[in-house]
Amino acid sequence: PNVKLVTSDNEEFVVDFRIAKMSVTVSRLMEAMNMSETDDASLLSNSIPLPNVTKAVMARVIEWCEKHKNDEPKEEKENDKRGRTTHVVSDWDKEFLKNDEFGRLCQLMGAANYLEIKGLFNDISQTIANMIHGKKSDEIAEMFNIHCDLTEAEKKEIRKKTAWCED
Amino acid sequence: MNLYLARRNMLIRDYKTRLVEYQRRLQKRTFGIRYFTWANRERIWKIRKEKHEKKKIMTQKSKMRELIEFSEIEGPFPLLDLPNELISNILSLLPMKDRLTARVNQRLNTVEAKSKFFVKDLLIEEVSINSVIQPVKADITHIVFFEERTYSMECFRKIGRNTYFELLTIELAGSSEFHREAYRMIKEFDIGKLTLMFRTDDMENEIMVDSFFLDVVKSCKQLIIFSMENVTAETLHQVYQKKVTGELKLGMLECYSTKKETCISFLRVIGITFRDGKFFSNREIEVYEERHEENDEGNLLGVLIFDGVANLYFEHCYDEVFDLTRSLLSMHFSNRREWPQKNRGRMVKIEVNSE
Repeated sequence: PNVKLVTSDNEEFVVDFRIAKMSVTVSRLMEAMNMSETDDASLLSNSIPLPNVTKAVMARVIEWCEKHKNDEPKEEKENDKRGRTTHVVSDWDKEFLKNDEFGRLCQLMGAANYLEIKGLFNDISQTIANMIHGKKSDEIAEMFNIHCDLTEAEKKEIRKKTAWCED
Repeated sequence: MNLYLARRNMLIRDYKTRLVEYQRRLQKRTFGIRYFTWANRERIWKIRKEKHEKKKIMTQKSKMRELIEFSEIEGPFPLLDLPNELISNILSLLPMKDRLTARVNQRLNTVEAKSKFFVKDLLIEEVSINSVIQPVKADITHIVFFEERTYSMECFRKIGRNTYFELLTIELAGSSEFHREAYRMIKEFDIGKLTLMFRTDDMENEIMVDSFFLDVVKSCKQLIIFSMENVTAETLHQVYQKKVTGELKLGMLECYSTKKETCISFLRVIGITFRDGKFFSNREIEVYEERHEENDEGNLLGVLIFDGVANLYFEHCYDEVFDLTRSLLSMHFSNRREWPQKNRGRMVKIEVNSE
């Protein structure tokens, strides 16, 4: 069975029910609209509006979901609830995200967050975290074009509190 | 930036026209409210509703436009365009050192300070600047303090301020004010399993006292101490009692070197007497001896006492449990019997005499 998703720029995407289900937001909306896998009429007559996602971003999201539709659902461990440790980005995902413009990656992260697709969201978060990993603070500021608005006193305070960070 | 300025000018213009309109209507006194009557109320509500809907569509359209324009942005990653919770999520995936380094401006600093983080395994060590730092496993976060340098207390506080540690091991060297304060600060940390080590006996004697012990048991779920010579049986009993009343979240306490007398007096306080190699009690307890596998007369490895509150295990590597002056004492608080973790021998139930 297929589900119709409509993006903010009025583009209709027809996707497999299983793919639509990967997004917690979409599956919640489907539930609210009484759409079920067995009821073809309900799937045909309704479409899911996604006003926070554009056509270009949606295409990327669906591409990711197509690849991951057969993944085993990950069990949420006790630790995951309290906090997070490093997430391993698979090779395919690395390749998938490599060609994205930074701006697009940012949008994709927003979309993954809005659609609640945990795997994609974690992939992107980890990809950005990997960019930061091992860099010095001025390198980070330069990479993300961040203007440092900390006063000298604040900088000193930060350095003092993390004195063990310096080699 | 130009886009921002244009929008701002537009808003100002819009505001000015509205102001002019308002003044014009004020002169003419043609306020909608004046004409509001019960007869035409539905018409007025309908007009208002339509206006509201129109406005909603307009804002959505402008948002869409923004998104389209946004996707055409090239250049550096717009990290600061992300909402705080997404930035916080990215920070939470970073190793501790990287996360602290990433505080390059006010907003990142604030987001970092306000988020809660998780560290799986942290080892805090103090070494001499001349010594070779022993490498640790890749999944352990390693913080090294140098004996020759001075650190502020804020530095130590920052480590545990907004973080939950699944495992935390601390071994500092020295007994200056910093060291005493640092160990005392541990009670403010949020810890799963805490291992406390002291480099010297002097440090241990000075720091590991009853009041400190009572504080530190509150901060974690599992506690491992290498030695607690100065902690009295009464204090151990207080911890036991707090567990009975449910005041304590501590589930396990292990101490590698506890004085024999402390162990025996602690048992006596909870109603178990050990005399001439025999156990006496009027409580309902089970006692097991752990012996070498080889033969029936196998050497005694340890004793496990289960009293319904805790599994108390005493062990050392010699023949008789209480014969030497020090023993491993482990308390697993549980309402069912649990065998010691490293099952080295065979558990044999022994008789308990009533007093």
